[in-house]
Amino acid sequence: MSVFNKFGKPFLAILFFLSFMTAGSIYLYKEYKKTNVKIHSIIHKDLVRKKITLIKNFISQMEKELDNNASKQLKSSLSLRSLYENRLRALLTSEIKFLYVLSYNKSSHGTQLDYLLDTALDEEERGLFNQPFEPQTNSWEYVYHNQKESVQQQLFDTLWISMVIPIIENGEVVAAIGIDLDNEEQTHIDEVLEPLDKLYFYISIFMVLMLLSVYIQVAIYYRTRKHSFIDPLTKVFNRQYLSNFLKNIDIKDYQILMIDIDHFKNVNDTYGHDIGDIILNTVSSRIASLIREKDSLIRYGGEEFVLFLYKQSLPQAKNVAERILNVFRDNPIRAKQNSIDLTLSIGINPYPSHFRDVQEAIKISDEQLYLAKSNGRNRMESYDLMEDNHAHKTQYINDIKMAIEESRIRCMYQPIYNTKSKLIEKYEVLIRMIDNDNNIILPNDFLPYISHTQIYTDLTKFVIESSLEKLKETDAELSINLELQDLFNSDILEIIIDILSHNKTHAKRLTFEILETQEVSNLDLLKEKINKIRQTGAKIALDDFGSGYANFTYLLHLDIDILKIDGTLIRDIHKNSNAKSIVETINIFAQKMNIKTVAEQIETKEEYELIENIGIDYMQGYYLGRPSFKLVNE
Amino acid sequence: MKVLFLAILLISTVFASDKDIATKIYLSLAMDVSEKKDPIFYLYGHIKYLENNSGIHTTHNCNKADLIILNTLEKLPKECQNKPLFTTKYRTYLKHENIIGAFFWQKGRPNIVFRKSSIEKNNIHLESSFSKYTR
Repeated sequence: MSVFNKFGKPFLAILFFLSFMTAGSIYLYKEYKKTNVKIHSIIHKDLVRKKITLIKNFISQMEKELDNNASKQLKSSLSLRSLYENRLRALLTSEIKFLYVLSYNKSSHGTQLDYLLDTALDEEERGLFNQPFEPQTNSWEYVYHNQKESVQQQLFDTLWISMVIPIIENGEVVAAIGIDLDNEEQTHIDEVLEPLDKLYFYISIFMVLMLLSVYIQVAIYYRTRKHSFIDPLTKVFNRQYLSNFLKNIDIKDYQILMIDIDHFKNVNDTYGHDIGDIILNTVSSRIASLIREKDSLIRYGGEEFVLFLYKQSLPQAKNVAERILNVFRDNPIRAKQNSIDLTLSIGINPYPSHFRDVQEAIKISDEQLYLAKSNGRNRMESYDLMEDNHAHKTQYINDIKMAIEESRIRCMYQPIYNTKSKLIEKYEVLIRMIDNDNNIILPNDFLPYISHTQIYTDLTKFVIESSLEKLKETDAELSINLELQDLFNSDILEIIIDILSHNKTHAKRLTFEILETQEVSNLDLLKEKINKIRQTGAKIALDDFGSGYANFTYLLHLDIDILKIDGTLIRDIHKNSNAKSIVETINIFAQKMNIKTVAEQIETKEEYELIENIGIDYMQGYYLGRPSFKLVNE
Repeated sequence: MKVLFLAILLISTVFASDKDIATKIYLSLAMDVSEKKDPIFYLYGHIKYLENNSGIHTTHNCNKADLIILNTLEKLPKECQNKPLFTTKYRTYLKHENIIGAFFWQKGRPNIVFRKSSIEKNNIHLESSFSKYTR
């Protein structure tokens, strides 16, 4: 997965803004420097042009006056040299530092330069007539050979520009006038430009500091943000990251793998939480080592991880899952001198985009995970679109929709007797669908087809509302079945809370029988959801207690009002002493916890009498009363 | 090789500090005059760049000196007058036939000049690259 997806659109916006600002700052500074150079160049050119014109006029005048033989005449006449030196001196301006005339003379070493005239008054700087001159640069040689003036930026500290203008007589350069411009002029120009220079400098510094500050802030922000997305224990992404991640991806590009550590609770219970943490850490790092940068591994719950595989085919995804499973097979985790054998179970949803939303897609992978667990653990299960018989499912959904519209979804009521008073105090609400042939369809035959759909939610709402209506007709209490997973469906929970909070009087006579079909690891979250329901006044019953997943852990952690003892324990209780002992124990335990007990599936007189003797608070079963569309007293 | 050395020396004058240039020139000259690797200088008058210059060896005794660097001839001790003389002023150079040459700064540029007659008289073998500046 790319870094952009990891950080989202704001990151891109900031990145673009910073890049734009940086480029802008650099461009602005470069433009200023260019302008600065241009200003210098213009001044430079203008000044040089004027000086050259001035000197050329002087040369022209001098040659005219001296019959185009100035060089020879000046060499031979002190008075002429004095005259022209003075005339030359008259051309001096503040920016000219030195103005002098050198003659080219042939010697055994080649052409050498000697002073002819010098306007300098300072004895130290004034070259005497015939004094050799060492030019240091090739300007004078250039002028001699090319008969053209030369302009050069000086390399010496005190000089700025040196110009050499040839004096040509009879087609030959015999002498040249040298002008050295004082670098004070340049200093003066620099001084004029200095405020502007400083302004741009400070603006640049300000921009750089601002950008630096923004860069640091952004870096800190994303570092903090990244940390907030990382699970400190496993160092993989956490659930908070998941919502951000889902906002920035196209789910079509991914396959979802739900991964769970088998029997992790046992590990925690046996070795303690420290070892449990090491296990989680090792598991996450082993999985992380098998996936690519573009895949995203997220710690979804306690020991549950969700892996988003980027652009993989189903065989590839299965291959990844198989590799993850294999890395734990015969490869125990070493934790504090313990060697712990662990296996994983994996549920794969290869078609997340086929579902209503990502949450539903994750749920499907979760279902596959639990299928893998039910099928023996240490294995993977993959959602099969064909096997799911989409067409068939769609047909069913349509049938159920039609049944709802035609009021063919109805509630039956099975009485629950108070053992002592022998009176019906409660009814269990049981949903039924009536098909077109007037056959009664049991919920197990149609609810699985609509799980994770809006119809399921609507149906739940229908049952609650029907029950509330029914409560208005009777003084008895009603209990509604809910799957534990329904509590984790925010839509359903919202509906329950909303309806009950508007019907608080009747809510007190409503019980939700929670049936756990899947193991729940986050008991705190479950407790929170159960408490929300209890706050409306409704009671909570734990259904099928003593079988399957339902266990004493729930009693320890959750606020339960009623225990419904599983029918498998009640059936033949008079013949099975173990079952009897278990039911007695449950009853004693419940009494101590101030929890009411209900024995269900009482089908014989023997069962009824035994349950009565044990002292179970309520009884329910075909022996006492079958479900009916009407209440018994109606 | 020596030509190359001098060429580098003069080119480097453009970039080096005035003091460095002066030191190199004087040392090179004194080595040619004395034919010693570590010539001894006697400084007469205020000789800019050479005073307190750790790059050269100086003496207060003219007799021990291999080369006299001066900026004036006024009251030059007699024992110094027969030693090879070199000046830092062109005007001083012009004043005394025995002065073998001058190295001076004018118009921001370093200038060097050698007097052919004096060089020959003192039997000094200047390296060939200096000959360009011999008059």
